[in-house]
Amino acid sequence: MTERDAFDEEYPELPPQRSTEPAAQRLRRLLAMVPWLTAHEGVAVEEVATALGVSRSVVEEDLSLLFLCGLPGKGPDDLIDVDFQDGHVYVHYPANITRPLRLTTDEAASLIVALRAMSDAGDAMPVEPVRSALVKLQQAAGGAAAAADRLVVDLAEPAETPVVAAARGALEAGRRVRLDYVVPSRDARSERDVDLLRIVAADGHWYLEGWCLRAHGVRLFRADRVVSLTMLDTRVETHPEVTPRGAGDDIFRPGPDTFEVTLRLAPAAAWVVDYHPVRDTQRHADGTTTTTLLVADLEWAVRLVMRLGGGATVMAPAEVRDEVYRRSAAALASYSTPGG
Amino acid sequence: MTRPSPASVKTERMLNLVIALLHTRVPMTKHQVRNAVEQYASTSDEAFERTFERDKDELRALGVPIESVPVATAWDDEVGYRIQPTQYALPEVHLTAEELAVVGLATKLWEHASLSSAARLALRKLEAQDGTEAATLRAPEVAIRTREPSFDAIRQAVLDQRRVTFGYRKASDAVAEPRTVEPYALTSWRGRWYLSGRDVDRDADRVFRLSRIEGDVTVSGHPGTWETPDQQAVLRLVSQSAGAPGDVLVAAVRLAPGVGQALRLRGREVGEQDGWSRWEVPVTDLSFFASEITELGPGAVVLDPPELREAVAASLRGVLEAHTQEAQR
Repeated sequence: MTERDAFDEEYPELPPQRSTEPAAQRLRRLLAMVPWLTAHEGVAVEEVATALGVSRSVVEEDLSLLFLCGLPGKGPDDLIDVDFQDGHVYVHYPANITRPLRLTTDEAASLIVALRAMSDAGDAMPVEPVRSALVKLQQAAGGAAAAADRLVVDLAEPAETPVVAAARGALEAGRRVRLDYVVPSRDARSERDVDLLRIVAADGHWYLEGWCLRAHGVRLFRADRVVSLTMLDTRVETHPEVTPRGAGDDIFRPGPDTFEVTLRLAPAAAWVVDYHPVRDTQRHADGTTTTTLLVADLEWAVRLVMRLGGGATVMAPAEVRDEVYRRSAAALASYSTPGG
Repeated sequence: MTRPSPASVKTERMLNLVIALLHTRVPMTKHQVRNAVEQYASTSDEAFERTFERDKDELRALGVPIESVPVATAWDDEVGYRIQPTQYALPEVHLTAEELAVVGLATKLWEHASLSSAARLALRKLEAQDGTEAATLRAPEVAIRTREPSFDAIRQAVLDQRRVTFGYRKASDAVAEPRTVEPYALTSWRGRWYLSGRDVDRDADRVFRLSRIEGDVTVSGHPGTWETPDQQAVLRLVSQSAGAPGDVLVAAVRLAPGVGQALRLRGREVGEQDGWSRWEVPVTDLSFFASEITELGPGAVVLDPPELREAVAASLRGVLEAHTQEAQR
């Protein structure tokens, strides 16, 4: 059996139409991947996946594709040699694509702008490596560096508020805090006991990140939604699985107690599908979209439909549809006379 | 052997094309390219022409520098194609361990899918030079974030310097109008994203808040070479426009007990009537505020200003009408 046959045996048929990723985007990754793999001989597949920000199966598909490519000669030195035994990757190619493609405008801009933003924000970082890294990057980026000047990020921190100052105090003292907090999506006040982890500025707002004892998980609280913050006598505990989270308030994960609400969305409201857990989304020829929203409670869905101002129509269940009708009619009654 | 998806075939074809054009020392004619890339062999002449043109365009859009030069062949003067390795490859750059560490930290600043993946890929390209790796210092204390649907399209138009057209809703309006702009810069200021540029129809500099861009964004024309103001000038433009006094209205609102927690936090109570309270709340964006009020239902009523009352009433009517038809089915 030739080496090629052995490779085919190990990687059985992949289902067709598996990847919906555009070819150009995939190629971009491959052109960065080959040089990186050449410089990291024998790296584990999982590391490759993490390094490229994709799943392991995507990496395996990419490697299978690379194996098929090369120069027209198809001689032993013409094809990219990919060796994938025991989960460690070896790529050999004696020619040209082992050098990475030069930085594109968005690649150059993303690094240069982020470095500048960090040094301006006075993030407690070593100043000199940032300065010298910027110089080297700008040289390496060549023409693409000019584009970076057109993406301007001013990370000046928002003004410190009493809540943020109190949070800093609690963080330094290692003490738990009790937050009285507004949850806009439920128009309610909520009290949480939180062990703070850090204070982050983003979007022009301060966020308190901490372990929420009620939710048993890391949560982000926007500081300007905190009505009051009280430092408790209890010391903070170390919690398992503390991984810093990105943006977002309580994130809803569909489970067995999930409700389903079917909506028809006008084109202007189609974005809803990208921001909430849904299933069975269908886009129609007239530009509308039908989808089934997965929600923790029906009240939340009623409020979403109200907020969309006619952009969404409830198809099911009837109780949600009827509630929306009732609520909008009752609210409209206040506007039929001038001055409410 | 498995049947590859059409997207896979295209990726293989484009990769083989890049390899072939990089390898050749002499520019290749179309005919030679066709022989060098097996995925072109099975297509008709016409299909090959079209596919080759599209492949070249897409590769150039990716930043692959495909050169086309005249070559003299035995029959005719023709166009020859190649990629010069010196133009293709990232120049040698060696970052120290500390430099790699801060660059690694920088990549974590972007909480936006396409830019954080661009940053990650860029870092991998830099690491490939030495086989070294960026050790993370720690999680950054700042984040650059955006959720505007128009962000990616606007960003690419700005980076490539191409004309862009979009629907724009001013803060005081309920409806979006089409605008065409030659972009200068995309700026994040006080947590909000702004596009600055020359409004083509008005022939004047304007600043647009990305959160008020609605509908499709279309990019047109070849990359331009108009002059853009420097970063300080751009920040001045943006801060002057964004901080303009006309921005802040004050709304008078009646709230039932327990309703409107977020509004209460932002406003101040000015009176009471029949068990409900009266509040004054600042409004920076009319349409956004109107949808906030609409969401609260019958427990929140706008008293003033009239344009806000009208916007809320229109919004409520929209919801009612969408559900009256349904109720009658």
